[in-house]
Amino acid sequence: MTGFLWEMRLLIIEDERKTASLLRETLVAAGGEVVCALDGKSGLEQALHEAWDLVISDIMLPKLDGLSLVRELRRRGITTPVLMLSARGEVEQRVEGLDAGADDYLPKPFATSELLARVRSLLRRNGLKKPAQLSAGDLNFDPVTRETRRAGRRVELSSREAVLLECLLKAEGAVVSRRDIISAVWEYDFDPGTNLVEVYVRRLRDKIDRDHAVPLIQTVRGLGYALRPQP
Amino acid sequence: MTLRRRILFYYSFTLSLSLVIVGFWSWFEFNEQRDEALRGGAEAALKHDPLEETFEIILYGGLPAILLGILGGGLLMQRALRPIEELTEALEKTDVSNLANPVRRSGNGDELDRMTAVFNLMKERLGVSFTQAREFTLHASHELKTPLTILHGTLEQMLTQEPADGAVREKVVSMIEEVQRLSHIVGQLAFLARADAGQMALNKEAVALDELVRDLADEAAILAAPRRIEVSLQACQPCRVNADRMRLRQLLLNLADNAVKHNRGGGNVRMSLVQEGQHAVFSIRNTGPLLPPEQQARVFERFFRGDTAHGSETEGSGLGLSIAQSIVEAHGGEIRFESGVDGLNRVTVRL
Repeated sequence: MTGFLWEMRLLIIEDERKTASLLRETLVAAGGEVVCALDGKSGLEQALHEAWDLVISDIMLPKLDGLSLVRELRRRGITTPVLMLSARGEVEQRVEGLDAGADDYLPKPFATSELLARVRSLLRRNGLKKPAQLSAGDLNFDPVTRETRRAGRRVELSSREAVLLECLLKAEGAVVSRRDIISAVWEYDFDPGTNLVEVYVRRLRDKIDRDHAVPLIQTVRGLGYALRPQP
Repeated sequence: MTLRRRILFYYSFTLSLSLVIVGFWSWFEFNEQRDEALRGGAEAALKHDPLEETFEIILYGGLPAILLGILGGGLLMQRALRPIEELTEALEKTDVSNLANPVRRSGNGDELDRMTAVFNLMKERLGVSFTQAREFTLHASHELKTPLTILHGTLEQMLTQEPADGAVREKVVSMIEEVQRLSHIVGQLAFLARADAGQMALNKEAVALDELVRDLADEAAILAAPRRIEVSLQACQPCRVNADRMRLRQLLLNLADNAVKHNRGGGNVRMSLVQEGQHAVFSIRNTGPLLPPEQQARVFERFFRGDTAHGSETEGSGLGLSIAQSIVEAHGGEIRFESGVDGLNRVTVRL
């Protein structure tokens, strides 16, 4: 699960030291090589003069703000994926960030599992091809036809359940937060504050884990859910 | 000129005018009498009855003078008092939405003009404190997000990196859950603060409300199933509204979640969507505990929770209905809550 950032170079541009060190520790634990810049100007310098696999930048930065930084990178023809972070308004800043040329936007407060999920999907988008089949243990899922088999036996899923399963499988065993599940399955940009996720996970569990000795869907208390053969 | 002086001036003007008319008529009468006395001697002049003469003067001179006084005085008073009426009207129209627009001043420096100036100043100060309160909430919610991120991340690290024993783990998990609850409330407050400032970003398009309601009914049935609450959609007429789809989904889910949460096990939730003239009317009823009348008006207040919700296992921040209201109002609609009609709680949204 950890180590997916092996031999990846990541640049973090964040002026808030504690946030920066939290990001660094999280990404280093996942195997990445991480460098931090504490303001927009030095961040831009480093982004321009070295090769990176991913740049993570806050929007509110001293000397040069994150949006101008991305615009400048794109103007100079640098296509490194950029993930923006911000504590400001969510919907508007997301649009602004993406307009400026960022690849994704993560609003604060976020869980480190959410950060890792974004990083994973950005890196995948930028290289790895989409797998034809998703699987975990004896579970197989076809993302196109949504055909699901557990130990060779076919399982019928509703479309929401299938999207939920796909979202868990794509994380390759990592924890997926409630918020990421909500935005993947319901496409809500808000936290509905309901127990929809819990109810759907229970239904999915009923269909794929009942009658099997090894449960695949794990509840990671406080963090979310993970799909992996071992707890 | 001050108002007192203006009224004084108007009155002395009408009185003088009346005096001139009476004077003119008396002069005319006396002249006539003098001519008669000159022509026919004292006999002829004494023919006139003094009482009759006096009546004549009153009739032809006094009455028109009084009439003129009433008419002219009325007109002039109306002019003098018009600014008061204008000011009263402006005061009546004043509410939170127009604190930034000052009442028009006459600029003539009288008592009313000064009062308008004072009122405008008060309005401005009120506006400033309203804005400050709004911005405070917005800034506070932004400032809280970074520490919440660090707190959450650090707790996550404790959970995933250090092999902690069971009891410590349990405490860390409980702290993570509280941080998440805090993050949820901070997010809701930020949403409300933006809505109050009129900055809710609405991405309006033609939305088939009936489709959203049908999806909602399915979702609500799934949410309600564990507590054996029955969900039914009693009417669902095709309705198109010009609205932000995401915000409408948030509104509907919010209301449905409320109707399920504040309900007794084995109860029911009934929804309906009908077209009434130009409006789409969505109503949702549940068999939850009824609210006493004095609390019904307060359900949309922030952090309000009915007595029945306190101390029960029902979770929620008490911001859900405020958010529903802010979404409806941003779309120019109206939302109402009634409790006790046919023994049910009912929320009606008109868009």
